[in-house]
Amino acid sequence: MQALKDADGRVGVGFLDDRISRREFLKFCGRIAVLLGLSETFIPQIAEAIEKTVKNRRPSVIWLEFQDCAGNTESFTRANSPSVGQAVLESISLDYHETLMAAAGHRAEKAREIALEENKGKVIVVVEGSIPTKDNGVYCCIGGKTALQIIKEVEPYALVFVAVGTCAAFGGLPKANPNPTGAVAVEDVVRSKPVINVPGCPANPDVLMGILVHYLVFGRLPDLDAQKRPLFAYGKRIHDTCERRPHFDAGQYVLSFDDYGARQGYCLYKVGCKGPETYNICASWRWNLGASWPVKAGHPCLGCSEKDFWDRFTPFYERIPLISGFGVEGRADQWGKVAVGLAGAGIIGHAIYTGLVRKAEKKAEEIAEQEEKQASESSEG
Amino acid sequence: MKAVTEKTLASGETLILKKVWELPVRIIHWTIVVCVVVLAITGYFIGNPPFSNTQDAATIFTFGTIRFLHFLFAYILLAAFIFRIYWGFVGNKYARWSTMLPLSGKKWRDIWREIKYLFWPRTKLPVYTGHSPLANLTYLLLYLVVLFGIVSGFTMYAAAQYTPFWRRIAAWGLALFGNNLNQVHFLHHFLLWIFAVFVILHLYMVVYTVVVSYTTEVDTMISGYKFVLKSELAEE
Amino acid sequence: MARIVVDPITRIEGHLRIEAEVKNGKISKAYSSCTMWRGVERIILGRDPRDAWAFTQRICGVCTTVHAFASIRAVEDALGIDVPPLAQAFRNLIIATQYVHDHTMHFYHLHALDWVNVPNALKADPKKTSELAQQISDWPHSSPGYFKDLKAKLLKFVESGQLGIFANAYWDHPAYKLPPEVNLLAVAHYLEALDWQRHIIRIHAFLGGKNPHPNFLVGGVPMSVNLSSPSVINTEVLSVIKTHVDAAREFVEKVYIPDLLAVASFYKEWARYGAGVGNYLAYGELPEGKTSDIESLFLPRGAILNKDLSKVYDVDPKDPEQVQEAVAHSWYEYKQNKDLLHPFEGETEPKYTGPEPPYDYLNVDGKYSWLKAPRWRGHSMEVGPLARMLVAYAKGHPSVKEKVDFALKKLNVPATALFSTLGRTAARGIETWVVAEYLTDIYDRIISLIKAGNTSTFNNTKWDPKTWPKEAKGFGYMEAPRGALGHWVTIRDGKIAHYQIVVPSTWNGGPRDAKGQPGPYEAALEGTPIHDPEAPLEILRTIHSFDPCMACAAH
Ligand code: HEM
Ligand code: HEM
Ligand code: NFV
Ligand code: SF4
Ligand code: SF4
Ligand code: F3S
Ligand SMILES: [Mg+2]
Repeated sequence: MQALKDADGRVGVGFLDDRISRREFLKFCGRIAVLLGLSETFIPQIAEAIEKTVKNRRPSVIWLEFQDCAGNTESFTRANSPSVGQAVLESISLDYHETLMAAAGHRAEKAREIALEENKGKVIVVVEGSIPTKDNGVYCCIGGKTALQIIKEVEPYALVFVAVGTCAAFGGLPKANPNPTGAVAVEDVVRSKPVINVPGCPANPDVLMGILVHYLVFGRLPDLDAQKRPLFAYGKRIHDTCERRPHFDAGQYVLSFDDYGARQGYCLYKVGCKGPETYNICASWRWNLGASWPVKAGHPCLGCSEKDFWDRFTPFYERIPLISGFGVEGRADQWGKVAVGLAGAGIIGHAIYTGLVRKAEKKAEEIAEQEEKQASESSEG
Repeated sequence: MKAVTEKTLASGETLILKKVWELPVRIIHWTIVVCVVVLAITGYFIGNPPFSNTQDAATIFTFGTIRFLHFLFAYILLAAFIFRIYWGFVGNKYARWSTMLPLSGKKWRDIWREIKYLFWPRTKLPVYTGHSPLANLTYLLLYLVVLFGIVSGFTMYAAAQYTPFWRRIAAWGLALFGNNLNQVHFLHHFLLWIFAVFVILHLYMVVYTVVVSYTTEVDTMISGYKFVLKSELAEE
Repeated sequence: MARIVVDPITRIEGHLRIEAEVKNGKISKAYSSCTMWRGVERIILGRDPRDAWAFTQRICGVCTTVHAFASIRAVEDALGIDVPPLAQAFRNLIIATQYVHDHTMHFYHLHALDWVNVPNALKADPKKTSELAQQISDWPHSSPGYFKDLKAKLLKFVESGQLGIFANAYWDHPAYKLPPEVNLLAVAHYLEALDWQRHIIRIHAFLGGKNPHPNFLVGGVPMSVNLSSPSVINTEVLSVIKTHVDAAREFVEKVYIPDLLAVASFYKEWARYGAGVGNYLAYGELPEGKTSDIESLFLPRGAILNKDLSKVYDVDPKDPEQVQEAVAHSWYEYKQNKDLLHPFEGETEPKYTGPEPPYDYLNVDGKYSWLKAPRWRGHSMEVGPLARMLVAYAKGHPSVKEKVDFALKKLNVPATALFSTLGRTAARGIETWVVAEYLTDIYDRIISLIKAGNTSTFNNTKWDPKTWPKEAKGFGYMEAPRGALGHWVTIRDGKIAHYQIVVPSTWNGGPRDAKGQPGPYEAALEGTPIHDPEAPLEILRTIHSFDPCMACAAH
């Protein structure tokens, strides 16, 4: 952390110092411009828009946690720019967030009620975690109400639901086979309001900030793909932005962890990397203030931002998932080979069978011929 | 021209050599064969790279080349496939979709009869000009598999292009697979084995018809000639 | 009798509900209920054991990493895999970083607002605050101007009328006792810690790709070391890690510990409340040698009963008589006709019998929580930093002893003060301090291993499932920030056949057992004074001192 002194010899840190904050702020606006694919000339406009919003009421954000691990909350606190401190004090009004809020119990519930009433139709509802539906949803209750009841209660007040993390976006871990609690995603229960999915396990915090800022700056929500993921963050595959890609193209692979290839930073394709099937921003933005990302750190991508990745991308160290439903689970290639073997054996069997039948037929024909011959001979005789 | 142009079956019927497969059909056939073989080999390597190079990454492009070949032959396969569809409307009667698609109950009964014959080859099997009904069915299925390979393959291909055109293709393709690239990938991976099974069956059927029903020559798909019933020819 | 309900308990991880009966201004009985369950122990079945870490890691995003390690150790224990020394050292660096990060965030972001009054900080004199800050520490951000700016910023925020996460709390509660200057100082550090933690957690990102939920590996760590490659761990990465190690330690020594002592000195009466069960359990952590070498643990293993520090019992989590779980008051059912089951034969069969939501009160005479009730030799045990510090203290751990004695002296309280809400909170800080020093040591050890050419980070001999026995059982321990964590795995035919997890917050937050013995939260709340049942700040103080994590606890 840097301590900077101003003209009066005062020390300041981060955003607490206005002078630094301004510079950081413009840097941040520049980042947003890049992120949204805008030219630099937009930076003042972005800055103005944010400042205007900040001067007026900050948009109310309500963060609901259901069947979650709080990983997205933790992730949120690691945001690069704006930092969570900046966001919470200056850009948004985080009116309900169980993990961070001071009030508890009835007072917390009351804070939510007040925020909903005061911002009716304008509340940005962030949801973290899946929603259990089995047995009337008793697997997740807060203040005596089920997740399902709470989400229905909040829905009329919402502007938009932001499903953050793979659990909220797609059901995630709780929904993984055999889904003991009947967990579903936010979009499965929210019917009357738009849903934005921000999958990832956890979601990259800067994507969440990007969405909030997009809304603050442009007054509308970002463009989404078919799975309701914002294109600015999920528009490309990991594989197409990965720094190990030249090794992929060159046919240079890690065959086993910590082998020669691993020590050279070769491609992780053969140890199960799901980068070729995964849409996320990890490779380009990285994580934790740009420190690194899973593939850079030597581990194959798990595909954590993809639907049902717990079932469809496992085992994680295989490129191709297991096929279940054959009694015993098997690998695709094994079953393929079995199919080819069966086909081969089948035709060999059939060929032999046909041969035998034809031989028998021939013999029968010969016998018949002979009999005929004999018959004609005897009749002649 | 063939040495043998006529043969007589045990049943007493006479077969006459006739040009059944027009040149375009034959060209398409062998184009598809080459494409599928190249796609299967390159695809196998894409699925299971058998080695790891250690030279300077800047000087080699092994995997890139394998993928390039896969995509090149994918395009050729696409072209051949499109042309075959077209030919199914303008070609001779043996190549027509109207002949090939099993749209009548009779065709299905014929297929069933042929299957029965395969496992109980003592009944009399009629001789068919063009494909036999069962062969016909396997070819249709094979074309479906080719189509599936094309759709899944180009969906994956499109998913990595990011131009507006390819984005749209990818969106269409992905929608067919529940918007799940991984699912596409998995099924495409499995394609190799489906092809392997079909090709084995196909080759066997070819040999079988050469040996058992005498209507096909091994080189039918090269020469275009096939034995057909004299009686049937007379009908035309 | 009035029953207070606090649900949600906020500033914790997950969904915790406390119901408490109050008699004569004191809690007479308390009930701790976790209200969310996902079923990870079922979801994990039939999976590849090498994937288990990723599944179980997602039990919690706050103590992210700890389930991953417990799982990896369980699988390695089952299959007989030893990891190379450098991999072990990297793991220890990751674990130590997790302690420092998690504890510090807990203190400032989850616990502080129980003691620190944010609106009251507006009354502070920046100059006096600066003097105070400089008096307790030489942390540089302490000028009058710094606090003046902060105060202005805070004022602007409050005047906006949108208090966000600070809205509607118990700010008018008389139990808040800090002078405005200490409040302002604490608010400054609340914000600084929020920024600081983003930086030091980058150690996890360099070694595991990201945080939360870094990536790990059965048999070692995924990252290789090659001082002549730009793509893996090299001198540059190591030196950035070093910067963060130093920053981590500096913040703990110059901010966290001085703040902790300053705040604690105003709340000494909390050394009288919140002791709870008085039994403590620690599995131990930071193996310097092999994972299985219990003697080499930097933080030792052991159990203490009835606050008796003169005797530390040996602990063997594989012994069927020691660690067991009860479900008499939990929403589960055992098919085996037993009250207590050891995790190797444990069952997770949900059976909700609670009231139909929405509800006002739980039926606390019946089943009332998604947590099982773990027991050690039948005792209800507290786990966590306090348990670890007590076991280490009782075993004469030099660094722990020195720092515990220093804190006791500084606060001028006897050793018995440790058995309390305040003691628990102090123990967490002391542990952070001990581990922050360890961070430097483990970093040095990593460097010397690499220097000696000991650069292997992965043991691949048992990677291939073909090398595994037909059936194997393993136990993986982990001292998570919140306490003793264990994973018990059975691998059959290359797949997970049985998996049980007993979590620190299950030990601490679990309900009663068949004998009616309360869990540590429940016991700790008994006797706590409640000034105003409408604003039960006191409940938050004691509960937060445990640092609950309910996602972990129920899993
Ligand atoms: C007969 C047809 C084909 C066969 C047998 C075949 C086989 C394969 C196989 C086995 C793979 C490796 C899958 C894996 O494990 O990752 C593959 C990959 C692929 N194939 Fe095909 N394929 C065929 C046709 C096509 C076509 C028509 C396209 C269209 C473009 C195509 C595009 C692709 C793509 C994009 C990949 C992924 C390669 C990468 O990006 O690394 N394939 N194919
Ligand atoms: C990858 C390999 C192959 C594929 C995918 C393939 C595919 C096909 C298809 C789709 C047809 C139907 C033609 C049409 O109506 O458009 C066909 C027919 C035919 N193929 Fe192949 N073929 C393959 C290999 C071969 C080989 C190696 C031979 C030579 C021995 C062969 C001989 C024939 C013959 C004789 C016919 C016509 C059979 C009939 O009259 O019913 N094929 N093949
Ligand atoms: N209780 C608990 Fe954890 C921890 N520390 C883990 O085992 O918090 Ni999420
Ligand atoms: S998406 Fe991942 S990080 Fe998130 S709540 Fe789910 S398990 Fe936790
Ligand atoms: S490491 Fe993964 S994402 Fe990167 S190039 Fe290789 S396969 Fe693609
Ligand atoms: S595992 Fe997840 S965090 Fe990124 S690299 Fe893969 S999408
Ligand atoms: Mg358990």
